[in-house]
Amino acid sequence: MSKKKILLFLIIFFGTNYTQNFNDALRVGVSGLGMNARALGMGNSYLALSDDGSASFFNPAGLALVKRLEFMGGLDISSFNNTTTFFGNKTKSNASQTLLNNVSFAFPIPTIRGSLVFGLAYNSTKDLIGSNQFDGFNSGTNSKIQSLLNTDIPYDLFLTDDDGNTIINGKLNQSGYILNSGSINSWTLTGAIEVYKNFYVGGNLSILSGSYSSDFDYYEDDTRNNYQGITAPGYPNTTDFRSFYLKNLLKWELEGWNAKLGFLYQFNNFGRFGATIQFPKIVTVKEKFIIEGSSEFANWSTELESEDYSDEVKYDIKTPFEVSGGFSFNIQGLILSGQLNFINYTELEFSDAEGLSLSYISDQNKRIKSLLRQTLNYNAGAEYTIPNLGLRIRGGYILQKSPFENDDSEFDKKYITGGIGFLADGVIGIDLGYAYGWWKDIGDNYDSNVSITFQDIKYHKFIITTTYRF
Amino acid sequence: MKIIILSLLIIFGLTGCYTVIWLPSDEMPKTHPQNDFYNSEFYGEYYDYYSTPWWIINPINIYNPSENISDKNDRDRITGSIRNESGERNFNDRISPNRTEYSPPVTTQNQNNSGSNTNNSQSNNNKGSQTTTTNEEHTRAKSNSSNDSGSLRNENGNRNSDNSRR
Repeated sequence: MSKKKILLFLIIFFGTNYTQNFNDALRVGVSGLGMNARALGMGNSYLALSDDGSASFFNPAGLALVKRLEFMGGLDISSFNNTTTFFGNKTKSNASQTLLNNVSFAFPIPTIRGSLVFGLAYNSTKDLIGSNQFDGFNSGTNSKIQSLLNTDIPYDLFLTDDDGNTIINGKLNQSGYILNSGSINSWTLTGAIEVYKNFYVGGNLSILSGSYSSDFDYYEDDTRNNYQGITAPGYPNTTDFRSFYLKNLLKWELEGWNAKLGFLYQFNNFGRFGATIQFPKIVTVKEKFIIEGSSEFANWSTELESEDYSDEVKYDIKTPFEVSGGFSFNIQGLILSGQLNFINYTELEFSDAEGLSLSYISDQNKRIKSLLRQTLNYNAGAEYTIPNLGLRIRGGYILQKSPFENDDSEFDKKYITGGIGFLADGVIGIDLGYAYGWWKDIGDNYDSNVSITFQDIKYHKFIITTTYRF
Repeated sequence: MKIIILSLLIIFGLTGCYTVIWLPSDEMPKTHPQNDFYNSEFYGEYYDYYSTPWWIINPINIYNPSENISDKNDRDRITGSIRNESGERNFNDRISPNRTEYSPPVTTQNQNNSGSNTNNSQSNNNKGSQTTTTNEEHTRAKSNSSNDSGSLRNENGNRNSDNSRR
């Protein structure tokens, strides 16, 4: 291996790993839609209600409002639909996932006055599904092959000469398919107490776990026969370049912890006010990054040695504080609720990296500060209980603002939600919740603003939650 | 981390502020301050679902292990037979079948009886406007027409109070 190749290898390994950037931090830092069907039906505007086992996720203080022993369990079905526009071509893709999203138990301690309740919950708090499929001809003088010239990949695929120069100069058909899956889960121990009449305080400690997988197949094809000559002089087999293929496979194992403090005050038997402080989550990411690649010519093809480019690293992601406040009013069977959530994404941070240089981590943290912003998200919801039927109908709205500094409102995640619930025999509650979300996103295949996917995303989530109180 | 631990210690160290935990040596509370966010007028069954503590519906019975169990069972049988006799008479002569149907335990009666620890179990289990005779019928009807163990345990409230005397 030449000195140049050794140098390039070191750069790849320690300096220009493809994956760790602000997107990885946001994957952990942006909250999910939770796991409670009643809450989802009300637009997750649940902070000032939280009177069931899902208090561990929304507001720990609400657990003190649980008066009976309670078992809760639920299932979550999510579907992510992406229509991608790429150099004028539209391509649709889909990803879906079904999860056991909640198992919890709440135990109210018998009291003579007030309330003291403990709960243990397993929650799947965020799904990490996603998809993006694109296909279009890039007539520009750029390509992924060229963007990788600071690595050995084009060289090893016989797309350059011995000095690392290539005849490839854009004008290739580019296509790809990204499929993401996984979830972030937590085991949460919650305690809540009525410290003053109608004033509740709760706290919890969560052990986080989870996994994430992102599989990205990318192709550049010479569909217009622009490269009929030899790409690697001295190697006649490289005549008539046809196709370049690169697979990035990212595998995460997540573990970590976080804590949450909540307050809830009920006034005049018809109103509640709640507030929470979500302390920073510390999530350790154990990452495997696998690269495969190949190039095809008219009469020959070659593949990368995957182990030369694949690696394993480990690092921590620290999320910001989140402060939330909300209210709910019950007006003759109609509950109206609303809440605000403040989060400063510039406080997202990488730390304690193994396999990545300190300067690289520092650069990424600086990029986070320059690219991201503070956001104020809001939720609104309503629930009406039809007297005598025990049937409840719900509706809501969720706005999660884009964490990126210069994004306009079309990049905000917006959801309308609905749901129903009913009670069987006075002890078994069954709730169904649905959310329909829509937003836009963009993605760069390489470099910046030269090969962009414009994504129009539609999202569906369906949750069923069963509660048994006795 | 220190802030979190300190916060949790403060929160759970404040048990003396308002909440008073029931101890086995205390008499089991028969009533509990009601949370009326889910008003019974609009929420029906949901009212109990949200507002009635499980230890009111299913009172915790604490028995003295040294007690002669066979003696106690004898006493229960005697008390039970007297109450059954009373029930049959009332059922036949005074109460229409509809009124003997099971009514959910501790729905409105706790509001009527809140703050009193000296009421007997029958008045605790019934609406204040009903007569004593009717109340007895309601309590008994629950036992006869339902397998709900909670209603049976409510009926045993007076006997449980005997335990603390032993």
